[in-house]
Amino acid sequence: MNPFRLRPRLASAALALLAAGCTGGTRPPSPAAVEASPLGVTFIDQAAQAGLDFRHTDGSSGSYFIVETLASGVILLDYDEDGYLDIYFVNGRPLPPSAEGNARHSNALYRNAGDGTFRNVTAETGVPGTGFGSGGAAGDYDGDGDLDIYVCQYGPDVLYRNEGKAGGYRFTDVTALAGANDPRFSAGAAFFDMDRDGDLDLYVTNYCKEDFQSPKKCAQGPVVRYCAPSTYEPEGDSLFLNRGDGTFEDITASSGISALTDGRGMGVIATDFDRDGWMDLFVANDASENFLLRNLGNRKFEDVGLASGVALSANGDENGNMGVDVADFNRDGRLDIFVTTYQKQLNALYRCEAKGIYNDVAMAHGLGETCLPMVSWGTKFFDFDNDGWLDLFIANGHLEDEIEKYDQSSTYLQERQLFRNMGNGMFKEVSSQAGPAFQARHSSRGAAFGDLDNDGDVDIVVSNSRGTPSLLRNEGGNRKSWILIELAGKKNRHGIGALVRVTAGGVSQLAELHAGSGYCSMHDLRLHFGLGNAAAAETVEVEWPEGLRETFENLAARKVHRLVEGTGRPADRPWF
Amino acid sequence: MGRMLRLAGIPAVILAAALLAIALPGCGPSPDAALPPETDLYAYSLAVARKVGLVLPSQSVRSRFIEGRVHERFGFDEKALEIYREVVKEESGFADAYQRMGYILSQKKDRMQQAIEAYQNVLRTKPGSPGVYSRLGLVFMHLGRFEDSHRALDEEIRAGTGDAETHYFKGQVYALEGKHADAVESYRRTLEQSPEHRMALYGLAQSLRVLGKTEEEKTAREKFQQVKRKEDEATRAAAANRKDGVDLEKRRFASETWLDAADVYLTGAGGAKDPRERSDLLGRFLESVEASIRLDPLNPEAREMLVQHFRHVGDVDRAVIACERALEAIPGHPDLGQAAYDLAGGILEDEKTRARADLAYRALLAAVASLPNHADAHRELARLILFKLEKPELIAKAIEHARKAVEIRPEPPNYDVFAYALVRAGRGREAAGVLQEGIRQNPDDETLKERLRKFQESQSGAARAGPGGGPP
Repeated sequence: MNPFRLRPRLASAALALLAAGCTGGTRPPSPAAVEASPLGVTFIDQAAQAGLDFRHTDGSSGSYFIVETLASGVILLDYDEDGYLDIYFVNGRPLPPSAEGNARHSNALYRNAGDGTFRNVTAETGVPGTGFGSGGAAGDYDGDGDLDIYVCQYGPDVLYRNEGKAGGYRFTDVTALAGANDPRFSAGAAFFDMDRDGDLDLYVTNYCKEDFQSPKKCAQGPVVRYCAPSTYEPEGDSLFLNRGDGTFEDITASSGISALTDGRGMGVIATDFDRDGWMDLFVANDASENFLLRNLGNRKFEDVGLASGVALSANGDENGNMGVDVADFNRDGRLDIFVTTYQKQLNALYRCEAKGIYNDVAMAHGLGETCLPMVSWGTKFFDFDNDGWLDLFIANGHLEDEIEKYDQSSTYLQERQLFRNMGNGMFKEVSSQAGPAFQARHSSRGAAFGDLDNDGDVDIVVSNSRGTPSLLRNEGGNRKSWILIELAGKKNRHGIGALVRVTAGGVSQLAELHAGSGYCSMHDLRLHFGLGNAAAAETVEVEWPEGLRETFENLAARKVHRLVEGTGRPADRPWF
Repeated sequence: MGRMLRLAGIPAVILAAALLAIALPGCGPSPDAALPPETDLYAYSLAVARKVGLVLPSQSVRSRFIEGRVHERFGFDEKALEIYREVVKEESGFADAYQRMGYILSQKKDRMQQAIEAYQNVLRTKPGSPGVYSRLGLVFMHLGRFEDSHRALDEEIRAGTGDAETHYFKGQVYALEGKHADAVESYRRTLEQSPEHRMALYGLAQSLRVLGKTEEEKTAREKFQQVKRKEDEATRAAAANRKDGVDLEKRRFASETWLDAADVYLTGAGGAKDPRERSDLLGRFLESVEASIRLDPLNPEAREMLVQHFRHVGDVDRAVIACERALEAIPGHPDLGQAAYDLAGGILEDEKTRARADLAYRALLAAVASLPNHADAHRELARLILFKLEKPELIAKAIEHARKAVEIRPEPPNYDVFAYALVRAGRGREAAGVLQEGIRQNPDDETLKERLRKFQESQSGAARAGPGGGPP
């Protein structure tokens, strides 16, 4: 790490971080085990009652194009700034792509009425999508305060600019104007501030090349099936630099990203893994090595995945990597990485051992055998019961719709999984206790997390392939205390990439804000923290993306707090 | 009785046919009935498995087990489990069935405890079964029960059946516990037994990285990448082969089924008292092995089985031919190379075949081609040429192989043979130099010193003596 890259005020903090990274940071003492009482929380699927009548299509028609298997992710965003999270479902289209097929189906934006119901506002807001959609992200790319939407599609992607209050919160397709358009088979996206200039740049993952004229044919005996992703040539990803004037420059080549040709990109997340103040990226690649793209600070990136221990599984295998999340699940002050994978592969829990050094320890944390039969996609660490420990959700579902005919170790439709953090980073599957929503079986893909009813606990929206979505409302999670942190940055208006540390009742929790994560999806931009029995957060420390660190004190629990950059007490001590 | 059956409404014709079927043996499915076509290798393999039970009714449980294996290989886990359960119900000591159950159950959600029970049953019915404690160790690891995992793996090691995998699993458990120094030790033990164990190389690099041993980590990582590249190329080549429509994986399954059948026929032949029955079963054994090879020419086990069989029955000609064909099909395969080396040794040791030096020569040629770093094979090949074949035109070859032996392992016997080969070629001065080098490398060895002394005496006019102590 070169301290000269950083502004002077951060040099000492950086040195402290370096020391912490080298020595391993401060591990928390073993906490008392979480009581093994009944869960106390139930998730109920209320999609139908809520009016979410969206029906997903993956374009399947018996041709088994691999494009079908990726669809689709889901985005949570408060597009109309009314304080309630709305939902944007990305949809597939008939294949091979055609203008007529593209027009026959639509993505769907549902506005949260605030009373437990949603209304389809796609037509009136103008965000139908223009092609086969895999996923996307939302971010205020033009810095006007409202959230815009980038949709990843097969073929040209689309960027919808939110016209804000003055424009009735309608969206305009500004793809051509903005120049952020990846014409390949895009899967996931992440908005992040690559160069610390306050505006949001964009990384887009691409999956593979599909030839609709000469599609691959694969079968297991008489049963036709999708061909393995390893038989498809990978597509490289794209990196777009925000010029700050509403347009982007494609810097894929100059940044070094175009040299990475072996990845079939799926989920992506922006995270400052080495704590040097520059946002890096983790890309989950299917049947290829994951990328950990270290930001060199000069609009260039280098892949340090293998050197860091996150490119491959614990066995050194290239897994079928799908979704990703980054969080400090064991409260040791370091951000860890969780990646979902294919059947007969363990999901990977890359625990950060020291700066830039990770170890896949899924089996050591209760995430071993229960995941083997599953094909896992959307995921997130979140505190479902507000006890202050991050739990884990995984959305599952096979892509082979006839798998049972030739492989009885798995099924097409699969249950979701909920793992409770037992208080020391150890996870225990509690799916069977979490309500009927966890017994239902789907072929799920993206999952997005947020407090949709603003009652203090985290709800989950799941996109189900070839079906209707699930809205898993959290009932009972708000018995314990909580706090929601909404960041308001000066230039980076939502504080994307900020690090937030909440201390309540003597316990500190760390979280990073991402615009795009999981499986090609996007979560609530308000950071949720469960506070157990604490009545307030004694301190909330924010490290803003452009470097300012400040502290907010005595924030009452059970409230949403909007923290405005520059209004806190400047931090006068290093964090680690 | 006929009246009673008539009263029961059973037509007479059917009754007669039924009685005939019961009375006449072989009226059920014939063991020599045609197998289903190979276009459906699943049905074909099931028929191969069932045939075993028809040929050898006394082995019907084994035949059922092989049927279970077919289901398992082709992905029908639940069917396989059902059959294995029937097998152990029929024969409670059938350890192999418990072992397969354990394997299948260990891949299933929420059935790991059943997997543990299955493996424990293996140990109960066949104590000391190699590999079972290692599998138990792996299951415990998946469950996060690291102490139990260590206990099981240590048991395997204590029993002397611990292999590279056992040490690798131990390394993994240590790494999961955060005991990276111990993990490094275990990974190194893995690599001692299996230097290109890709996963151990990766694990080693990971643990070294955590320990901050940068240089060692870099070496391990580079070696890992090298091995991975080789494996990826092999995978790509195999995938390319599939383009012509041949499903190699299914052919391998069918090949393995034939091999399972061959095993039973061979065992049956060994126990048969009737020479005709014995001959029939041996014939079926050979047919099975050849079918196995035909379906999967790259199946080393089938090829090795053939070599060993011919060697066992004393048909060294066919043993050597099988060896050569095996290594032509699968060049460089270490087990086949070792089999060739052992075959040569067996030919030379057995007084019935000792005279067939030509065959031993061919076997050793195959061995060194397959195992270029096998010092003993090079040396023995040189010795064979020098002492058995008596073909002057091969002396240069003898020198080449003897030199190779010395390069690989600079030990006294290798120097001895090298020097003698040079003497036979009329290159005495070089021979002396080799002996001197051998003495330098092995200063405590008296044999080479004695050899050199005698050679120098012979050079100065004393009677020429060949290397004493070696075979004529």
